[in-house]
Parts: sequence; structure tokens; C-alpha cells
Amino acid sequence: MARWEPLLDELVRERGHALVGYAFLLCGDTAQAEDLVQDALVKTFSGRLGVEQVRSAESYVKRAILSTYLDGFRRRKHWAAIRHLSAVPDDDGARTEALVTDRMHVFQALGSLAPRERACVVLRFYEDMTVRQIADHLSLSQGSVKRYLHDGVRSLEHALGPVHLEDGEEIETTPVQGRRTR
Amino acid sequence: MSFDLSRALEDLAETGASRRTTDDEALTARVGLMASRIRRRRAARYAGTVAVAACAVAALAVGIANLPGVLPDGTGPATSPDPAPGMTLDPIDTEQVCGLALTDLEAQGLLAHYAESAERTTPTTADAGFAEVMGASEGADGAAVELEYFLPSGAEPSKLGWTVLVVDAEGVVVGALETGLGPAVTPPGATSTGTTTTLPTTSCAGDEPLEGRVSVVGVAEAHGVRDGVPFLERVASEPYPLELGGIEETPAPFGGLFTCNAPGPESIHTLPDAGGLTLAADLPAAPWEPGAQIVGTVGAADGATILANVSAGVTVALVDPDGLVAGFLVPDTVDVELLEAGDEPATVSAGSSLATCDPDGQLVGSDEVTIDGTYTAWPFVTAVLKEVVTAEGEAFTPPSEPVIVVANPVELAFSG
Repeated sequence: MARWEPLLDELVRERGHALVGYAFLLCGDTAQAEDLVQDALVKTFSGRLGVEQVRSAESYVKRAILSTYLDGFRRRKHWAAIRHLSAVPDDDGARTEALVTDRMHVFQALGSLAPRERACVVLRFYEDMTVRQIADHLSLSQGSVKRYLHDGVRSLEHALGPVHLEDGEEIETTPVQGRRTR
Repeated sequence: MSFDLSRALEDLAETGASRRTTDDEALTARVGLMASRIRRRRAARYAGTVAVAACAVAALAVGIANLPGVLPDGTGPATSPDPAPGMTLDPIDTEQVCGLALTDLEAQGLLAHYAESAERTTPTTADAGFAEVMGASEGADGAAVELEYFLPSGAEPSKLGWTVLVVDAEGVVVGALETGLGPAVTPPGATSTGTTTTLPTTSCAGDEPLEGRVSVVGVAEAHGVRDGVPFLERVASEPYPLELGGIEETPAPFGGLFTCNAPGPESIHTLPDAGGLTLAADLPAAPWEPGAQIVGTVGAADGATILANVSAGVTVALVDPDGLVAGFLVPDTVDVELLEAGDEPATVSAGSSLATCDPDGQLVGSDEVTIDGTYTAWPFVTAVLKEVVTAEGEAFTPPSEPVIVVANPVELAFSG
């Protein structure tokens, strides 16, 4: 058995659930999230994985989930045309039942965000990353991350009400000059 | 009242992940399928890597032996590192290890060593570095091995060198070469660093070809800093099995497209298909100068997305006014990169050296070689396709054969 196989097995067993949850926040669909995680695992383990610990491997896979998610949307140039579709959950009885009121609102609000906005919001508020870490993660400038976070949070607040920020939280709240706000 | 977004996202993530409570093991059930895909991709990747590298090695075979910086020569002694105080490491003499059993080398402590030269303020973690042979193959164009050194945690190597040992079925060293210690190129945060180099295919005496079932062992030697403390490590890979010999035909290099003193292509439209890959090259507008950087942009035709191992530098064939191949601009790297060409084209970039064809059809390269005049320059890269996803979303695995991806020719001036 190759060196990476026990690690793959352990990672899926111990962290698969959390990885699917993370992917779900990005793409908004459980089946797609599982596919996203599967593709990210294959991508990660097909390369030169220089780690032997589950925690370290998980961070590689999360990065691959993010890039796979963003790449997927980058390839779909008709994003603008389908944007309204992603704001609406599919007509799945089980989900409708599971995602009760607040969750449904959050789910819908997240779905209204553009992919990079959504990624920045998930990394900031779910992964608890700083603006600098998000910038490194997405290969963006810190200014761009602040813009995405600002626009993303503004959109969420439009649907959910004021978003609670931690004391000292650094998020650009002033719209960038010349940029249209929602 | 404000909304706690972090808590809401945690809740939503849990809900999304738990939605399939009846088949909660969905992802777990796919591990076997994933492992198969990973094995296939790893095998293809490494086979392709050495195949592309072997094409570059072919450049040596046709006579570019003197080009500075093209390949580690594999014959010279290792450059002496600046040893940190208190650290010594016996060299591996590639002549003296021949005929010795691998187990004897291990017993002598020649294959594993770790030292630090100062007291550290942070505890050493248990994860030492390790070496791995990622792939090795022999083709008509030569033989190559891909090596990877996985760094100990917190390590930033400054120098890295490899000794490649070929071991027979009895575990005895029958061939060896060393690359020499050179600067280690590892971007911040990298967990490993790799290289592809030539594989010895002749016996230690150098007069007989190695044949049959052998194993390849890569021995990495790294010098650098770990958590602020100078460190030195030597570590050997597990043996990598390989069948040598049996390659008889020697096809023309560069797929026969560009052969010294032979006619160059008549038109870009008569070239063989490159599996959907396209190339655009940025050649210097002014007369070419030694070392000039050449940037190639690799794309995919018809809206496809293509994953491929691509030579990391652009080669340029030079066709004289009589229509004959007169020489090449050879990239100063034989590395291979795994690229994804699609909506966003991928780039390769390397410096270039001039090699010209002598009357016997051999390439001659050195700092002194010059040519004059204007030539038709045909930039190209070598690639092995791994995966193709068509514009319609259909994915397939193409044949694992090297293809030559040629850019539109341009006129290039030389001033000798």
C-alpha cells in the first residue's frame, strides 16, 4: 500500500463530514459538495503531498476545494445569467425541511453572493481567517479581499439584518470609491 | 440586534453535511474510487514527467553537452558546502560505492544523517525529512528519474544535491551518479522540492549498458536552516523498481520535426496534431542575446481544458534562408511542469542558449557559438497530455505519448 493511502482513508473517515460542510457553504448543494470534496481529494493526493498528518492534509484539501470551486465558476462565463438560480435552493423536500427559517435565510443570502465574495465570507466568518490570510489563500491583494468582504457583508445584511462583528474586527466598511454598492 | 454570522455558517455547514443522514458514509464509500483515480493520475503524471524530461535529455544525446546550466553533468564532484560548525558529512564517492551492497552503505551511515549546529529554542518535531523516487523510466531518448525531497517541518534548505544509485537484484550498487550540490529552490511554505535528472544506464565502469530488473535509490543531501538553526540532512529513498534495456530504436529527437541540416516545416498547417494544445511564444524583437528569456503561453483549442506535463522552457528551432534547420535556442532548464491550459492559459519561461548544427548534423553549443543573419524561428514545447475536458464537459484520458506543440514561426535576427 502506498504511503498516501492510509492518510486518505483516515482523512475521509475523520474529517470527511467537516470537509463536506465547508464545501457546502461554498457551493450550496450537498451532492455537489461531496463531488467537490472528492475532486479536491483526488487533486491533492495526485500531487506531491508532503505531509503525513491528517490536520496538515486537511488544510491542503480545503485549499483545493476552494480553488476547484472558484475555477468551476471561472469557467462558466455565463455566471451572470445563472446567478439568480443559485439564490434559490433546489426543490428538495428534505432540505426544505432541514433548513428551517434562519438557515434558509442564510442559505439564500449566501447564494446571492458572487463566488469570490462568497469565498471571502466563508473564509472570514467560518474559517476565521484574517484579511491577510484570505489574501494569501486566494492570491488576491488585501484591498481586494476587503472589497469582497465589504460587498459580501453588505449583501448579507440586506437580507439578514446587521451582522455582528467581533471587537476590533477589521473589515473595510467604507465602499471603495467608484465602486457600485448594492 | 445583530446577526451572528459565524454561528449561522457553522450551523448551515453542519446541516449541509448532515443532510444525507441515510447514506452518511457516501464519501467514505467513495474512497476506493478516489484511490483508483489517484493511482492512475500519479502513474500517468510521473510516467509523463520522465518521458518529457527524457526528450530534454535527448538534447544532450545529440551533442549539447557543453551548454552551461542545461543539465547537471552528473560526473563532477559535489561542490563543497559551507559546513556549519560541528557538522561533518562523509561524501558518497560514486566510484567507491560501486560493487558495495546497499546494506553495507546503510551500515556505514552513508545513507542517513541528521545534524544541527546549535542549540534550538524550540523543540524538534519528530517528522524528519524523507526522500522519494517519484518516477523513473527509460525511453529511446534517454533515461530520467524524478526525485522529491520532503522537508522536515520548519526547514528551509539553501543547498540540495542528489546521488542516484542503481542497485541490482542482489542489492549491490551497479551504477551511480551525483548531481552536485546546488541552490535549493523552495518557495516559502513549500513542503517539498523536486528535480528530474538523468539516470545512469551504464555500469559503474561506464562501458556496459545496464539491463534487466534494477532498483533506483535517490539519496538527498540538504543544507539549510530549520527553525533558525543550521541543519544538515542526508536521507535515502526506498528502492524504486525499474526494468532497463530493451530499447533499440532511436527515433529522431523532437519527434523528427526539427533535425539538423534537414528541411524545416513548410507551414504551421502541416504539423502533426498536438492533442489540442496550442502555443504562443514571446521572442525578442531585437537581435537575440545569450540568456534571453523566452516566454511561452500554452493554451487549449476549441474551449477544452487540458491537464498536461509540459517542458518548463521553450525550445526554438532556427531555419536558415535555404529552409534547413541550422540550430536551436535551448532552454536552460529540463524541468517539467504540470499545467492546466484552458480559459486561463498557462505560461512557461526560461532563459535560452544557442546551439548550432555542425556539418555532421551534430549540435554544438558553447558560449563561443554565434551566428549572423535572420532565421525563421519555430518555438515549441514538448508535452504529455493527462486529461482533456472538452467544451461540452466530456472528460477523457488521452494517449500518454509526447507531443510537440509548435507556435507560429517568426523572423529572428542574430548578430554574431
